[in-house]
Amino acid sequence: MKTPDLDSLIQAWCDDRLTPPEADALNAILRSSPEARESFREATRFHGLLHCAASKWVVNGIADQFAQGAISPVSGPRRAWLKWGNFASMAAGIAITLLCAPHGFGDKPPRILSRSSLLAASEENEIPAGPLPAGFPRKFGQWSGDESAMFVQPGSPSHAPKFSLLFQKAEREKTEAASKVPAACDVFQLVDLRPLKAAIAQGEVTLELAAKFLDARVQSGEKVIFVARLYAFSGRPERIAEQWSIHSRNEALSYASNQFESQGGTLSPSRNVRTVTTLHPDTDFALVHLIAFKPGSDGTAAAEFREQSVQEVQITASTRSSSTDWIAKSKP
Amino acid sequence: MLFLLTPAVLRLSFKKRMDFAPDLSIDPQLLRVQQLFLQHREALLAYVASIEPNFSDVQDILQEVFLTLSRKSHAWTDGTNFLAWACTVARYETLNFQRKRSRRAARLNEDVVELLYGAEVPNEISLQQQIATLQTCLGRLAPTARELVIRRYHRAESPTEIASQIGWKPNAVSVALNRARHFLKECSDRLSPAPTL
Repeated sequence: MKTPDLDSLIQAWCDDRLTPPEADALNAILRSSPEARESFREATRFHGLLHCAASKWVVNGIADQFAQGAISPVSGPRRAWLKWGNFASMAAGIAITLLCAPHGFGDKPPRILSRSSLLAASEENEIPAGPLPAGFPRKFGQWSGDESAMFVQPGSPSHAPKFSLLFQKAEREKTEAASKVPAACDVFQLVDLRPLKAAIAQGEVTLELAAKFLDARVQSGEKVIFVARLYAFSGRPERIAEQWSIHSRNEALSYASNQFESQGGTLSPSRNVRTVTTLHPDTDFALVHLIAFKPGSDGTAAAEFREQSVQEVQITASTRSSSTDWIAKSKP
Repeated sequence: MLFLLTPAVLRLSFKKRMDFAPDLSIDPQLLRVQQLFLQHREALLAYVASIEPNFSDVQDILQEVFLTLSRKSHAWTDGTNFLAWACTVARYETLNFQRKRSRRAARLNEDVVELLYGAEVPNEISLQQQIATLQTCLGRLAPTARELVIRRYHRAESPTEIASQIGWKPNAVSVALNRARHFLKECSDRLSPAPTL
């Protein structure tokens, strides 16, 4: 086989399509040649800079339009290409907040606007026990997703029962890109944020997701990864519901994620995973996305779960306390 | 499709407003480290993106870096080079992430990453100048090429994904992206004659 030249290998690296044999060839070249290392460093530095510049270019375009009044902070039109990536939307959140709050937000104490437990039933909020509806949720406040089930927690009050959500079976996404990742058991709930619209439009509201995952295996075994994700979107949820995929997070105005790895056993069987994102002023609804997957499974065989569940899911909207709130943080 | 909009199903209850007293205490050293992270986030983003080509993963890695720096905030001494420390943490977090995601086979070996980046600390001022220059150059790029660059470098789409969405062949997208990168590099070099990191 002909060995590809350095430029081709660098280009393949930049496009994230380097094959293992090509990676071996690139490693060998870089190990042996200081000149090749300098070329690679220069190319990948540029690659990283371009990532920052492209995101900033898009975000600045939006910020400029805000400043010129071309976009209403509540419901303005958006150009088709303005589909924000994660970091850019976080950065945009900061930029827009700075525009809206020239005196800064660092000196404002946080204030909880609203908090809700998504696994606690009440008169206002019925949670049906049993298998979850399949697929993406079609209503606000409804859990649905891959094969999983809702159980009443023993000992919880009958007038306001608390539920456990048991992951049962991982399913594989059908998209090409998803075939590279392990099958996962995904469950979702849509949260309507329009009642908080006035506060969100000020650009200073953070949304925190806290999920308490439990791995009840007595003996240690195969690694299971639990993920708590939070996405914020504008508009109506139908569009997301109709074409949900692992790439849909690129459509989100903001996004946050955190995870917990467990092998079961007596060491730390449960973990409270928290993640928080700053809400863009255009935010209309959020999506809570909980995931369990076995990193060893390649997607060809669906992984099954028996003892992995989530015991508590809480979502909290607050006014932001400091500029550090924009990125996910963990308090295990 | 009906989305119920009544307050009963709007899950964030206003009744609980101000029921909770938030914890306002914060460790000053932790706050300082988190502020420095925000100050240098673009340098760190560019640094991680120079080791990990998948931009979606870069975002996840950056969050891990933030968490690790927060956890280790007391290991940093005020007055020392924060960016050098943060880049070391970012490099290890990137390698750790690639190991966990079983990506090592199609990535650089760890000893090669050390050879390449072990002694490198980005120059924040130079980096900001170069990002600003690149934004100017992006404005000069042909619209189709710019859309490709935005899709790849902002929306984190792979050339294959871009190709399927715009009806091109993946190889044509790669070639066009490469041409766009060459244009942007030449433009950037022309506008800032002696950039160094």
